[in-house]
Amino acid sequence: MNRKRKRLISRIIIYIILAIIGISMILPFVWLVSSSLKTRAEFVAKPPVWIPEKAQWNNYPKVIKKVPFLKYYSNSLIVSLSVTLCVTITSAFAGFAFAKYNFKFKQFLFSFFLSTIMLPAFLFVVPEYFMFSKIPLIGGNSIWGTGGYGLLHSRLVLILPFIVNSWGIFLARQFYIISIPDELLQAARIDGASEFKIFIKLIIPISKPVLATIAIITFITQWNYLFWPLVISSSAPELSTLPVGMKMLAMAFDPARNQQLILAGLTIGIIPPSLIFILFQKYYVSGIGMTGLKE
Amino acid sequence: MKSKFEFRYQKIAYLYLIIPVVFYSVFIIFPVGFSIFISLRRWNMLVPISVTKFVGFKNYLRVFKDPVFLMAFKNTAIYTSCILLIGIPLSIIIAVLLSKLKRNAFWRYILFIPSIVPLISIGMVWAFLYDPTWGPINTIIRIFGLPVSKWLWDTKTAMFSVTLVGIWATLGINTLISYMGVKEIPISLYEAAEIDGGNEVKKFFYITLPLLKPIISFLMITNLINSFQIFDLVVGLTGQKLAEPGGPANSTQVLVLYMYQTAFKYLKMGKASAMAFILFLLLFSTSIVFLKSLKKSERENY
Amino acid sequence: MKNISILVLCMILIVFSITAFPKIVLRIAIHTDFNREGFDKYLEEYTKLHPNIEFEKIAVPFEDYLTKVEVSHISGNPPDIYHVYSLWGVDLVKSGILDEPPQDIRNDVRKNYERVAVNGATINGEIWGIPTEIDNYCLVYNKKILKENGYSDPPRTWNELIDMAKKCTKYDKDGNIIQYGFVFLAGWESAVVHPYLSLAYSNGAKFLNDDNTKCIINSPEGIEALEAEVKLFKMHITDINGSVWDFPNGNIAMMIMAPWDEGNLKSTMGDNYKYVGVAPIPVMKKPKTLLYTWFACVDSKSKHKKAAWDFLRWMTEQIQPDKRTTRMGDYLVEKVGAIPGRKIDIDNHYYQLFDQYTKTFVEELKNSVAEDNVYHGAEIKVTLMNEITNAWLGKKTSKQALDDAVKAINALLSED
Repeated sequence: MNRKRKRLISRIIIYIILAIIGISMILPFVWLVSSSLKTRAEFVAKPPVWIPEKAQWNNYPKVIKKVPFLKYYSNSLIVSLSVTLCVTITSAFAGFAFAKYNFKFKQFLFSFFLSTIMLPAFLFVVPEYFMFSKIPLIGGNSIWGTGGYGLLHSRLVLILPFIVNSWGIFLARQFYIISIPDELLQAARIDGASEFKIFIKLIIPISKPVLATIAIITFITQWNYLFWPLVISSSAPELSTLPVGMKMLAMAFDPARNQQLILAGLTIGIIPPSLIFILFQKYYVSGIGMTGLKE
Repeated sequence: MKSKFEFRYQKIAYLYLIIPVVFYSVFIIFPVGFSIFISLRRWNMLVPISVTKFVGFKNYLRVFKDPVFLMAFKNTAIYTSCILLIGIPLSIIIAVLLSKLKRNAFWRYILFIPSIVPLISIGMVWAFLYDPTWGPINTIIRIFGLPVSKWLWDTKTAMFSVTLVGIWATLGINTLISYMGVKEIPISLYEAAEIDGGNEVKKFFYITLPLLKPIISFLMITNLINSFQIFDLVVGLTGQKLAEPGGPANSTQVLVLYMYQTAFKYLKMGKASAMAFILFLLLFSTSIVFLKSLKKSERENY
Repeated sequence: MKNISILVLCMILIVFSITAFPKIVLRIAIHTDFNREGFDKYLEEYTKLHPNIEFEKIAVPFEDYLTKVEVSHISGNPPDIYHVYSLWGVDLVKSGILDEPPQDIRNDVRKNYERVAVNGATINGEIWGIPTEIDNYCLVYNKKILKENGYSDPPRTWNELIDMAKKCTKYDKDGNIIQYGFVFLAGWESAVVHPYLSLAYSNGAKFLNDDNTKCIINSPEGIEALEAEVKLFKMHITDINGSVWDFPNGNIAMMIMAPWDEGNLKSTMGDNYKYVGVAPIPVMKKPKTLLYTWFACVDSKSKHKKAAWDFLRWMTEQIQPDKRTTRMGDYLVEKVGAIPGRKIDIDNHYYQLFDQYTKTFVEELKNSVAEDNVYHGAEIKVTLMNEITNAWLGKKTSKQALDDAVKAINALLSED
């Protein structure tokens, strides 16, 4: 009896703690949506107005009229999808090579790939910017890479630096080591299948879950990535992605007087993708966790 | 035990790795070399590199003498240590609590939300929440009759406010990853401890924590790498009302933000590259020290 | 057979490209500031006159404008026409971003513009662009609030200002300011540095020495001027959360502002605009205020330099027969509310310039000192802003802050 009661109390305490944390996690977003429907007067009112008396839905058209969200969304979508596709494919192949083949420099290459995770992204920004501007014969450049702007005004510049990802390779390798026994490969080889055929016909179908996980993580990460697109869009505004667009919101509206419009813009940028991403919680977390669990 | 037979597929392995190898040469090795090269020169990106002046380690010296860089370094270090020493322990505790509930899918969804929203927009939303006059945080504090703060608009509390949001933004995903680890711990271990009369606290310190070691080290390393490069959050938090992010008076200046400004506002590519290289050395050495110490303690345990 | 068809195709293409109308797209980088609208009218008019010219407006926030100019130039596909702040001039010229203006434009500028405006566009002895607006600073105040507190006239000295501001400040029960006696705008270099320098100049301080090689703002006069500002913070008359942009909300008694805010105040205050009063900046020792200028210029990598300069000629040089003003003058005076740099525009816009708001600014031109344009100007200004903020917030004493600023600025000035 006593023990049961103790259990009940501890359970209630856990619920309370989790509830406080849970509320603190979503309250900012609830406030965001509710405030995006306020009038300016309600926004600064004292005592504060938590829920607008009459939802100002026309805040949204006002924002959309001034801020090209459609362009931001389509840029983000095209870039993130392309990156995701490339990362998934390159990770599958490279991960498999590391997991199931032996070759010279294997250990060296693998540690090198992994150690790149520790390189700060900024180290690449200036050289890559320079590099992309100097690609010969593209974007008005001469054969020596001078005179024009290279790839700087093409979406490729947002995609190319991300088509291989060490995490993805590592994740795929873990999966192949754990889930695909060598015997399976041997059996297929005895049947006379070529290595490439084995990979495409046999391995890829089995590794769908891990590839899906890699794809989801890559997509979400790329979708939220700000730094490189920000640098690029300062000279090529037509390439602005969603995070860059949201950063510009404060510039499109005077932040001292149009808070509700900025918040409406943030709502447009945050809420729809989040509602989709949240469905992938399990894959995302287990994917990231997998790289950590079995090292 | 490596027989010749195992190397039979060498060629196909190389074929599978060709794209990553080319990629890493072009997008990692070349840029790193290039960065080191220009960090020894004075270059504003507008003139061909061939006509730039070689200045030796002057850029590095200048960086170490630059009070703004030192400020940025201090702030970044504070931020990172708060994430590692407060954020991660907190998330482990929450993960353990979460594991006590059988039906916790709902909580997991909620905890997941902050990690799928771009950090820049998290920063922007929190900048509104923090507003000293009409911001809801101060409003709530006033309801409880506690003294209000100026948060981001005071040099003394600004970096603290940034760190608080940083912990908030990483708490959920860290908890969920720790939770995965907690879930993997066999219940039989706890049952055995219960028979021995161990209480919850003891169980946490003697069973949960040691078995979570791989996960904790993973969290430490990834959070270290991410926090050291904090940029989006600071820009979101301080780039709206205060036009120049990193303010007021550089009190929230962080390394990557300062590099960004040095490179793309003041066009000092040499100095910016020198800073980037210093950041790389910092990250690399701390990660190695981390990994080494973890490996050592692991060996001692078993 | 195949060769011939290719040849024919080439011929057709060549003929087509010659006869087809060559469309020129001029790209103009425009500030996103809220009072810069109304420019479209001129672009449309020009397109009607020159059907082969099209315009593309690229909106850039002021804070990002310099970065934008530089990075776009590096990227090789820059906008054709810029409107830049004179302070950036040295950097832009030194890095070869600006195109040399045609000789006739240089001559015209030298002859027909106000001296301060010409100086602003002059770098290393040469003119690099067409001066547009001139901005200086005055005290802008809310007559209603002053009257409620028993004042019928604006303050004349800084001490008077402090007394009056103290009386006009109101607090809520937690001690937060709900009505500001005076506001600054923290975080924006110009809004922090310019009012301070105005005050310092008024107190007899100088920012740079005569040959622009050393910063000397930490003179006793400079420190005294900063302390005069800090006093407002110490007495809790203002804080860094206050913002000059809130002035239209009617809870700010006084601020230091530039002429270009007129359009903004008019459009946001409605009826209450009648309460806006303008007076010279309260003096410390002698009446002085800071002045800065802007100029229009063309990127040296622009593919349509001639078209760009032609458009600028039309906009800034051609005098409209009916009004006897230039279009740029009309735009600056009527849409922005700024003071134009061309003499004829000042003379022939007499009524608009001598209105309730701008009159004092024009009169104060005689007391205005132009901002020093030096290499690394933007970075120097940010450095000074940060140290001023430190002093405001009591993190450093005024002397300490200015000493640190001078140290950092001198390091920047000695860089090449």
